Amino acid sequence: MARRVVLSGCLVALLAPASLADKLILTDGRTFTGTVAVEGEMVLITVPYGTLRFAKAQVERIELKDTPEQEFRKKLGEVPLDDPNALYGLARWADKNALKRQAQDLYALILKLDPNHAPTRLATGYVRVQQRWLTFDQAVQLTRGKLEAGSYALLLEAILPALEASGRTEAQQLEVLDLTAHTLLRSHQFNVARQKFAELATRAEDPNATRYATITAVLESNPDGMYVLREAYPPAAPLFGNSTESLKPGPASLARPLVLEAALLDRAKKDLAAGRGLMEEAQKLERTDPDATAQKYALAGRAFDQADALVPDIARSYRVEIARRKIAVLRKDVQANAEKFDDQMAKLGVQDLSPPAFKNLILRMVHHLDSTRDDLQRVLGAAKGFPRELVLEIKWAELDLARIEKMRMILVSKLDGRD
Amino acid sequence: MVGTRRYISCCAFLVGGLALAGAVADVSLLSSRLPPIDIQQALTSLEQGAYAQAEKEALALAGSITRPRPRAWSVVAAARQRQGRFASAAKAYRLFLASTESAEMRQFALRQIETCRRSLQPPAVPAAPSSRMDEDDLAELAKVDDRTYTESTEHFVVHTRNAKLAKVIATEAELALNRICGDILAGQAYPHSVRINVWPDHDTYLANAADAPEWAGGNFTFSVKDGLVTRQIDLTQRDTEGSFAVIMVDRVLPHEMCHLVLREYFGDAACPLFLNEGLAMMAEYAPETRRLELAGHAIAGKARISLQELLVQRRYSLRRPSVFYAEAFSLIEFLHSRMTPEQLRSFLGHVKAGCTACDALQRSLYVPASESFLTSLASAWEDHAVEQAQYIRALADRR
Repeated sequence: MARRVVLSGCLVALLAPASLADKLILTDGRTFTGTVAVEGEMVLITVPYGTLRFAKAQVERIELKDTPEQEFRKKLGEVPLDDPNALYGLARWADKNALKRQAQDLYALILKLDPNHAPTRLATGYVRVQQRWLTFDQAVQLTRGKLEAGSYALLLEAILPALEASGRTEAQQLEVLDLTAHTLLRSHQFNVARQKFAELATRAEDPNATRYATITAVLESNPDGMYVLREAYPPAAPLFGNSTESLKPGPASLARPLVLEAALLDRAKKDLAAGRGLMEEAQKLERTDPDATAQKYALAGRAFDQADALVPDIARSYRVEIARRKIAVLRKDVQANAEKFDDQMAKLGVQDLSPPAFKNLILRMVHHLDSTRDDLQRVLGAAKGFPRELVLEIKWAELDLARIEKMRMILVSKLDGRD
Repeated sequence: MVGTRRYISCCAFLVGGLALAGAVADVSLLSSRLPPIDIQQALTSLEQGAYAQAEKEALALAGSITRPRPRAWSVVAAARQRQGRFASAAKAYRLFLASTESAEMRQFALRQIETCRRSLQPPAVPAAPSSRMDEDDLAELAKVDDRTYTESTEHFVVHTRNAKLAKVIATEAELALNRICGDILAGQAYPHSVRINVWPDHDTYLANAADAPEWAGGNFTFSVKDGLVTRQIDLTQRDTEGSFAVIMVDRVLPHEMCHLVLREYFGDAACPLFLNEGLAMMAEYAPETRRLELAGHAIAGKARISLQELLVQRRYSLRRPSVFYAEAFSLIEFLHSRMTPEQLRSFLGHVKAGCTACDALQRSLYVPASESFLTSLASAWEDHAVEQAQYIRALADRR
């Protein structure tokens, strides 16, 4: 009896909205679908974008048809409400006919009748893992735990295929593929793992794509899965004397996550070296060729992007250095503009100026202030992203900007003759 | 005759058959020795510390006649190295070196061969020059003539009023420079010539040496005037009692020389004081353990200068100079003992390029930028410093 009450509550929700889908065929052949009404000599049809009115003489015929909602109502009346399979069939029909809400309500109804109804669980994105139904996120979390625990066979044979089948979005599919690739790698299946990483490299977006492509390259050059570490890893371990796991220089298996990290760091070092080289070239050009300098810094930035994709944030101090150098150049411009402004201002006090000459002088001063303001805004733009490292530069620019705004207001008021 | 021929051919057949059987037996023996696994099993054994097992498994792969895996020599080498069998490890590294075409791997193998060599013959701790002098030498070196003697070497021109002292200083200066550039500054070149003046006593030193501080027994000068670079070290020959000042040759000479080399290396860039003084103290022969003791005590007590402060201290704002010098020495000794020469060279390069010491360390270690880095470093160094002070105190108590 209680179940009946629950079910009827669900049914009310299912049956709530309904609309007609009539077809109005005109004598000229035009056809409209909507809700038809007749008002005197006029035939009205309400379509999604408004109501159209036609004279009866223009109407060839009217076809009154059931909308999907109506059809759903009819079907629901025929379905035994305590039969999960029958309800599931209707839910699938609703799903196909864009009645998502009704389908979801039916799925909820089925799971109340039978919490283990497999087709419904699968349709609603659940994954069956070790006799339990889990949501995708729960299953991913479980998979990561199993990966750390070394249950590779269980993952590859049962969990990952189920997870792969339940991945609906591209992001979910990529997540499963990533887990599969890492599981294969850790279970010493280097060649298959390489193929999976190569697939990830083509499907993922940067920076992940770069990371996957690099792992693919590492596995290509070490098909036996052995990587020779040239230095201890993590590199700061000897300095800190950490008790955490660390690797000695020498051969080690890429199946170990730490070894893979070390291999990626080695690749990142090359990108950092390339970026540094470009920064040095840019520095040489700084005074003579600003465009070439900017280009070199942009290239260096790309090299650092690559490095950061492999070891997150490893290039940050280089980026800060680039920002600092750009700010130094901008500061020189600011200084030059400030000197010009001061020169003009000095004339204000000593020269006897005619009103047009005065106005002209004020205009020039405003122009210098505007140039300075633009440079300071560029300074803030360059420092953006490094508020901790470039706190002085940011504060300096902000204070100067505030001063400039005040000065500009005074000058403009003079121009307007407000004073 | 025919019988003899038949006999010979039978023998030949028999010998041939035996040889073939032997070869087959050898191959089958080998193949029975070959593990049915790949190099991963050897790597697992290596990781688990089962070095003998790792060596055996990798040897089977590397020495296989049917399908040799030359890369396995690196596993053999590492297993032997970790067992402390450095000579045989070096041999395995040579075989690995011969099999690899990668420049990086070749470099790695060469470095490991050198590490094995050093493990077999650890470099001798440099002895203080005074330890090689007897009383007669010291008496001889305390003498002062009327005339000035000049002695020159590849990098130094020594002026002193004692012929023997000029030779000694020239020799020791070259040795000290070699040690500073090679060991302490991780392979810096110093293609310059330096004038060394050894003044007979403190008064003469103060009267003649350029910018000589009153409290010091020696100093260095680096100046550029009209395009002419002056590199000079001024020293004092005798102490207040008229004896030969062994401290001059043991500590002041390498200390000032290290400052000079650093001044030249950094050029217009600023060398942080802790680095400048710490390295110069490292350059001294037989550095004073009391500095390390003081550093440990200061860190454990209230006189402590925090790492953050230490890194930015300036000469004229030192509040506790003795603690500063002790901690600077302790920190540099700590970094020097824990970083590779490449990391140390890279660290100096980054500081020279204008990085803060913290940024330079993170860059040279290839550590992602992190706010917690300095805290972790401070913690590791302070533990090390306190431990070292306790050790020194324990040794002193035992004596």
